[in-house]
Amino acid sequence: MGNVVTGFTMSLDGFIAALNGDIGTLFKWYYSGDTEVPLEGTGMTFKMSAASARYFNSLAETTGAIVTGRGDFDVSRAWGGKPPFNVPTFVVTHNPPQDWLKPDSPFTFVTDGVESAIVQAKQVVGNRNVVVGGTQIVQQAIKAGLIDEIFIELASMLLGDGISLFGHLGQHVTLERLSVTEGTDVTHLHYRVVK
Amino acid sequence: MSTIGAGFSMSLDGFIAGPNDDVTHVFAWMFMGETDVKAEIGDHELDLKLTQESVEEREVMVNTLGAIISGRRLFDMTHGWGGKHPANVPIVLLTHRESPDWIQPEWGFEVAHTLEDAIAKAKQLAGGKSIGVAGADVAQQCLKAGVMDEIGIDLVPVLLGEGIPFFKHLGIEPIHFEITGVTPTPHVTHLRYRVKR
Repeated sequence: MGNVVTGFTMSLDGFIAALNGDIGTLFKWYYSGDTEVPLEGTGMTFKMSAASARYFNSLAETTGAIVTGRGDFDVSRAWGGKPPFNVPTFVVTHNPPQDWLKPDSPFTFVTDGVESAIVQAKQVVGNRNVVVGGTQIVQQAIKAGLIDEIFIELASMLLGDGISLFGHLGQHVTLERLSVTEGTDVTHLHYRVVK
Repeated sequence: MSTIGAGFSMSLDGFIAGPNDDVTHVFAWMFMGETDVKAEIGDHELDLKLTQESVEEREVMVNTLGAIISGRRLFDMTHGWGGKHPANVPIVLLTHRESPDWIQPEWGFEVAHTLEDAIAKAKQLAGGKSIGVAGADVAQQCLKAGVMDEIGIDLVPVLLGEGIPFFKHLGIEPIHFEITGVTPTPHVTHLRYRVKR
């Protein structure tokens, strides 16, 4: 049975993007090595350290579906029509965009909340993971106890300001460290949420 | 030439203490290893239980540290560490207010009213060894002023949800670091960084 996970590249001061959504310098580690990692279906190729590449590829292989928020969907302009990792993507929104309500759409719009989106995503992933994205959605899911594992790619930088991943959850969550992987300009951290 | 560094135990969501300055969770790793280590604070001893990895990290810190600059809040909270910080180095108190009347002359502490003066005094006391910054507020001042050389994060596997952040919204231009150490243990990951200039 697949797990419900979330994963972000985060600065040491806890930000996953600048306030304007810019992620440029945070993702320096995507280009800090010699190992080529082609991103399927995008024509993009990253060049990261061998350790980061192994880690990144295993994350990509275990991604079975994505649950995210409307903000993510809009900012990325529906990922150019093709969701990341080319997997079924569930977008939590009160107002589904009419242009994307068509039979062959890779996007499913879920109007009754995060939990419902995760339940629907679980039905299509087999033994792969449901990956939850969007800081608002992630914070809701953590508070509701819906997240099983957290992957943090800790970028070795202070961003100074930006969009905070965890914000002030107002709730204590105990984690268990599963692995720490040293990359270049990044440290990959993998945690299980203790429930 | 003394370097300036700050190190904190921090939760994954960036807090160095929880609500009401509660450090139970961020310091829990100091009591979960198999090696007994005594830390002297003032005239009393604290019995730590560290992993071998954490013992080595602590030895490096204690051996390289020459002086500490402390903010007023932490200084008052710890009552000036009773005159003796666990690293057994002199302290420069950075405060805008009058210095507390309970500081004993024999502690050998100094008081400074500006960051610049605090750094100058700490350099005098450190004898070429490194200067540690205690208190999130002073650490943030050093980062904003561009005088920080190194940071250490003892990252603990917990989300505190609320509390005192290490960094806050600093509002600075991004600072990039070189990773100088990654030491994982089950209850804490010691991360060491040097500022790229």
